[in-house]
Amino acid sequence: MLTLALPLLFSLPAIQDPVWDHRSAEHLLNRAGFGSPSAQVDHWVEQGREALVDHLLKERAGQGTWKMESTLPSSERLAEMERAERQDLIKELRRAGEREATDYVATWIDQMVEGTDPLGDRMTLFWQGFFTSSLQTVRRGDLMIRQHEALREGALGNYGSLLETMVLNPAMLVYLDNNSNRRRKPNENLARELLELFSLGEGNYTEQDVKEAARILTGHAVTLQGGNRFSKKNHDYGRKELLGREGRFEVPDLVRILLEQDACPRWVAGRLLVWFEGLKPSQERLAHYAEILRSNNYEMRPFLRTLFTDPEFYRSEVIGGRVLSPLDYMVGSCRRLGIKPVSDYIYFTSGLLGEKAFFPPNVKGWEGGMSWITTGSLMQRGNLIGVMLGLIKLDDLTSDAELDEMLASAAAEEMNMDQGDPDSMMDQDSMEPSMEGAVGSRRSADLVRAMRSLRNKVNRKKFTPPATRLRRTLAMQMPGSDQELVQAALRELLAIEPPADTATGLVEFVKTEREALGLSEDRFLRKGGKDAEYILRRLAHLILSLPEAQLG
Amino acid sequence: MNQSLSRRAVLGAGTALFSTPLLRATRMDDSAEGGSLIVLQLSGGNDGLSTIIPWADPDYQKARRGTKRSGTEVLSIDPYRGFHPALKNLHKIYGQGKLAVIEGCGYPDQIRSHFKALDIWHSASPLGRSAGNGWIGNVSEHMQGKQASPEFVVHVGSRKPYAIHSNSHPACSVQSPTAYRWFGADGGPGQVVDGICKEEMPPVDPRHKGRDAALAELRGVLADAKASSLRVRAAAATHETAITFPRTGIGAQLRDVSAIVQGGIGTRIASSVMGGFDTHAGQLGKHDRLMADLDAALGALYFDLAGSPGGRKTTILVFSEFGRRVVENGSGGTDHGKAGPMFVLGHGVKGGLFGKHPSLTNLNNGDLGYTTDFRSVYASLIEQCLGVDPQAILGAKYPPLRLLG
Repeated sequence: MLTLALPLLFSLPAIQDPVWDHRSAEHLLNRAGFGSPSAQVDHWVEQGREALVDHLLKERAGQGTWKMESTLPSSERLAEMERAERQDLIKELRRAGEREATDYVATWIDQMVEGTDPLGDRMTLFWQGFFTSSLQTVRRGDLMIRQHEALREGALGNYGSLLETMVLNPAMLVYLDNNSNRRRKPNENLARELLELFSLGEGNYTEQDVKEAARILTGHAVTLQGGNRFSKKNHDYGRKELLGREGRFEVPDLVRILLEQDACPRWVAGRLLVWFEGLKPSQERLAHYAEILRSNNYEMRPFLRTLFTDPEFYRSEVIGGRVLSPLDYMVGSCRRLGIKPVSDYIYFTSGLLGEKAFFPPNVKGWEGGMSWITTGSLMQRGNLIGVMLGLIKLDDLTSDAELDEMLASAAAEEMNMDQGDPDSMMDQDSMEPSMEGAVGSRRSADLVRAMRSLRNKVNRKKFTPPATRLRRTLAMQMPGSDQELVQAALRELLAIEPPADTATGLVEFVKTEREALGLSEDRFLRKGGKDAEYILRRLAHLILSLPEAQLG
Repeated sequence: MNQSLSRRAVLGAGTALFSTPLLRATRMDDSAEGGSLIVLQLSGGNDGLSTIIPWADPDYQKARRGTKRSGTEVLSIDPYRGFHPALKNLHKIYGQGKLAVIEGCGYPDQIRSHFKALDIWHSASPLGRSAGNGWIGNVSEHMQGKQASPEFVVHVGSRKPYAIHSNSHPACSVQSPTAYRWFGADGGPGQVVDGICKEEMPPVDPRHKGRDAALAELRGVLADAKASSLRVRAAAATHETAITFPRTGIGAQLRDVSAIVQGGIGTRIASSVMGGFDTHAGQLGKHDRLMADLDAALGALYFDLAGSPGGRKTTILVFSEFGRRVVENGSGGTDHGKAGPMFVLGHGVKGGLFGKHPSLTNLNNGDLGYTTDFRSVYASLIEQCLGVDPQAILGAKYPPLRLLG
């Protein structure tokens, strides 16, 4: 026994286990979920990393099937109808389907905020950007919901099975025009994206491979009811040459051949590493993880377990260096504030910020990283948190009172300067009304539209700013000074450790506000009542508008 | 002065806003040398053969059974070709000699992937973004030098194209001018945010390499946002025009582009994106609508620009990442192809046909081969519109076309 054990002991890799502390636990909770309030992070620091990884990877009961309110009657019934009647039915189905899709996604987002299956949801989000389909093209909410359920079901399962499901998934077949991919006139759309985005990556196949893959996919279409339909007549049964193989290949062969390519595990592993680490992996790291994927037959759980226990996952380039997506930012902020918002709110606001579930910008999905951030979106993120905290009115976002006021005061200044000159006074008078008209007409139509629909949604559920857990959480920590209060709030609300200079201006803010209300530093939270709550909300708004709050 | 305005906003707005020329009906024209450039991207791969239609070519009629147009339908250019029937404004502007059509634009070894192809158009390099900045980003760096004003390049819309990317000179991105601001807790932009938003690099901490690098970039974006917020809004709010822009997404975007370019805030390059051109199926109706929307918005922009000296010195460039396959597919649509036409229009443009229509018989793998490198068009505009040496931007010499003047 001893002789056997010894070489084993010596061959153990000499990798130091990374320190398991608040910072690394929060990192894993950010990346494998949507972040957690600090008390939960502390809990997992105590329980240890293995326990957290087990918890994240645990098998959970399935979601069940979303009950569609609207469905089409059978083909026989449809055939009996007048053409106009049939078309009306389909139109109505489209409209109802879009509404249902919104409800479905909002329910899914609610689950993210609750955090009952953080890694499952995060992986579903990954697959949604990997095997993309868009409701804008598919125009059938039911198909999109069914596709999403399949992604959710298989999120932590096997990539190969998902690939096989997705190639013939009805939403996918519609999205990439395979409905009209026929033997005599092939349509390459699905075949090309299958090779480029869903399995191998650009540069790992030829144009001829695209053509041959398209031939294999001919005849696979979708019925009006949203089921699969295979047409023998339109299918190409001939011999195909694909990626160096030859035979009478069908879809299962196509999937098998793709999975056998060296490029396939590399492509999938690369996408996963970028997703979880926010950085392009080194060649070495990519090869290592591609091998893990391949040797585990594309099973996700062993891959993710290896990643989450890999010291390199906790290196200083990775922690805190990833820009949060709009969903990440909104969901994470709610979780940290202890808010349960109107669910549609996150769906609509993350859409405004560039991440609208079921509407990817294109077949490649969302680009992610720094591309989420523009001068405009950075300001808007803070605004939309402000609305949720009850500090900003939705209407303010679509009108520009401040600018109107500024223009008026600048005009008045000019008038003062030119006083005594009757001509210029005349000019001024004639200019003002037209200016106001100009301001009104400047409002961007699509933003106004988005805001209006958001407001309707929000009003429908009687929007009142949701209660936050913040005051209670902070009071429990009994901060004795403004400095301590700000530090506690930063720890509570940010997904990362901020640099030391972040706190300075915030401390000044709290001090000024507190003193204006005559509250003392040490009894502020306990005695401040509504005033303290108001100051805390504004502090939270400031913190979540910071660049520091965009990282996690 | 209004107390609710932050110090920065006032400083940032500077003389442009408060020395009042911005408030006059006549716009100031601060671009003494060179004009401005507006770049419009048609995303998805616009079908060139249905845009500038070679209707008299028997091979066109043969290849396009479902989407073909006859000589009576097209808006005639010459006996061989004409504009798509919906491109009424463009045809009119062409007739006035202010629209250049450059046919057969592409590059060696064209790629049929949307993303790789867009990367090449955006970076003007076969290497795509791994070659460095976007081409507009390079122009911005070169023209501004050590100074960097965020409004020099403005993108209007939600997703910024890689073309405007620059590490040292980031651009503004405006979804809606009205909402282009941060609401402080006190309703205005707030004095507070100035105190708490740091612009300097965070302290270097080896434990936080990733965080500090990202934070430095984000703080830069925030500083640019604050500096440009009031100026961009003021430019949009004070723009007066008799032109009615169409009530479409692209119409609203181009209206904002027009206001910003003519707003006297130093914007030399504006960018916008119109999507939906990936017409794999049922192309006929879909593409017709796209053409109609494009024409209405582009026409409004062109005629609006006539209203100011700065506008008359502005040139519009329209491109798409690739054209489409010559032969239709089985779905009444067309698959990804290669070469396609580019448009250049503006009051200083020398209009007409440029380049050479690609052969419909001598095909490149079923696609139109390119006859003009798209970088020749970039080079011409960099030199003739912006007044910069194109080789300094593109890294190589491309034979220019006489598009302006």
